[in-house]
Amino acid sequence: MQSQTFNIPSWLLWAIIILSLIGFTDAAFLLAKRISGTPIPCFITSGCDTVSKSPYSVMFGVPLSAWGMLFYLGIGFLALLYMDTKNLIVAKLLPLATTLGFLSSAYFIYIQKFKIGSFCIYCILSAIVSTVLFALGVMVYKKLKE
Amino acid sequence: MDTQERIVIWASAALVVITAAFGAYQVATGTKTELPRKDGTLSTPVEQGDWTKGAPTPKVTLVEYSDFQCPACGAYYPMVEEVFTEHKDVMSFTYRHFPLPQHKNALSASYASEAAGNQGKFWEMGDMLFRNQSEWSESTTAVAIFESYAQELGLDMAKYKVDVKSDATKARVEKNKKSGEMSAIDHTPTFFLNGKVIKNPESKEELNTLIENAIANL
Repeated sequence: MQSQTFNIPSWLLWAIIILSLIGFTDAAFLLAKRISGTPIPCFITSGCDTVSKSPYSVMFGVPLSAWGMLFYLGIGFLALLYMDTKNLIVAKLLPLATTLGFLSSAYFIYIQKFKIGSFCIYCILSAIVSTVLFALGVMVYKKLKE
Repeated sequence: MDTQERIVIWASAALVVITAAFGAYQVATGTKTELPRKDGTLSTPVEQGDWTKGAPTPKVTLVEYSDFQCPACGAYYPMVEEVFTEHKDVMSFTYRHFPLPQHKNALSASYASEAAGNQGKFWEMGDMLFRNQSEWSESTTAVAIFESYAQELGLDMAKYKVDVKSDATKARVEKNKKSGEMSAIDHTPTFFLNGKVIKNPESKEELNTLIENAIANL
């Protein structure tokens, strides 16, 4: 069994699951705000609505918040699936997915800074979550290499 | 892990995800619950879905929260109509439902007007309801009386009968009522002139003066 040759510590998997749950809730909140059309209360930063209503907030006709929900759901699902099955392919997908999330978040921060000129705290939270997830993904990757 | 344990884990994961999504939705939409404003301003500005007549780009907007069965509203009706007609090139008039619970036929009267409105006869039905208020106010067959009005207006009766009971109709009336509550209305009729509540004028002249002042101030 592969699970004997390498082992991802369970705290790492739990951390991934919890973070993806946070990211998921954050994205769900933004999507709900978008659907209900109510303004987003903004603290620390200003211009949450400017960001969330900008043309950059949609990809392939689907709001980014919906993509975010899907992304975090996927990450959490993978981590749980690995816990369940100890499948090596699943473990390999984790660093890949978190890298994708990190790059997307970096791009979104760039858009907010240089294209829109305002920041949305909930989007930054999402960026922080995906950055930490990326770091955890790197740790998973290192474990896989061992 | 045995099968049972796996089911428990996946089921709880699904539950957590659903709870998180639902919670996020609640928080996101919950902040909408604003308190009624007590400063005498209109909670909901005149919007597309409202029954509004008059100038397309009015200098003065008059919004009335009214109840077809309320005697005072009926008494104000000819007065408001007259003043409106004199200034309809510069003002708009918006009718919003605020059926009071003590008026047993008020709600169905508002439904009747909405159903007529679906066929472009909202104001005509409102006119009939107000002018014949005493005929149906305490009647137990008000619904049938409203139908006779609809017939008189030449409405498509099959459509009318469906619309009068439809959820969309009820929702529109309810929406008006909610917006009135949000403006802390406690009597009918309540008038908002340019979004600000006014003391109910005691005569046609007083209303006229209010409107003309509002026009002149612009």
